[in-house]
Amino acid sequence: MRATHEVFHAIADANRRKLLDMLAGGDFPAQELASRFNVSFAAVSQHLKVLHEAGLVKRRAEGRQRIYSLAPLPLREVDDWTASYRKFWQGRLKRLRSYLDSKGSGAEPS
Amino acid sequence: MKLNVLLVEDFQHPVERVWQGLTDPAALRVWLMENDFEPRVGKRFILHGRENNIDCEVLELDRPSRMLWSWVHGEGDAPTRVEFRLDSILGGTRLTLSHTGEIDPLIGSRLREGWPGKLADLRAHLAQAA
Repeated sequence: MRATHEVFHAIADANRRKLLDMLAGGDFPAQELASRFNVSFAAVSQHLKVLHEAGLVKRRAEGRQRIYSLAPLPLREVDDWTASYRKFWQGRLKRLRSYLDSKGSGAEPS
Repeated sequence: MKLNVLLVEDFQHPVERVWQGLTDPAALRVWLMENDFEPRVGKRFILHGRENNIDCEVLELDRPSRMLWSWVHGEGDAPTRVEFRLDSILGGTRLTLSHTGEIDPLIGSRLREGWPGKLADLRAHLAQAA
């Protein structure tokens, strides 16, 4: 299991997110990924390395090419984070409900 | 990274009552956080969290049916938006809460570590009140 921090760090960069978006559409050789960016091949290669270390992409050799593919499972960490916000509000709304229920309940004629 | 929380809750109370729960600073203190909120457009207020303060501003206020806040979790963060909407339904009020925005994933990582503690506090509080 990768550290949460590595995953969030990996997707903090817009170019790396773009790489993930491209890989969501299929597997690509590094060269082809790089050709769609305005940055150097070395830079793209570095981004792919960070993604690989975070466990977000897999790579395999085909002939002389390195083919990259998406490994989306660690992104669950991100989903968990959004879920924590949802849980926060769910908890607070529960509290709002008890506040409303307790405050003068039954005092109003129904 | 997109934050997109949408919650719908029904209450057996009239709209005015739920609105009071959302806009009275004393009520907000009970169910949300310590605050210096005032129900008027343009009011900047702070929610005092245990670990950090949240900078908010009332962006829109349409009594008693809709309120929009900007919500900035930490200095330099992009503002997110919290919207409360109240609709009168049979036998009470429907509250629709949304919290949306674009958040730096690194901040997301920090928040992720902050919320579980708060939730534990909340659980303890609820258990005590029951």
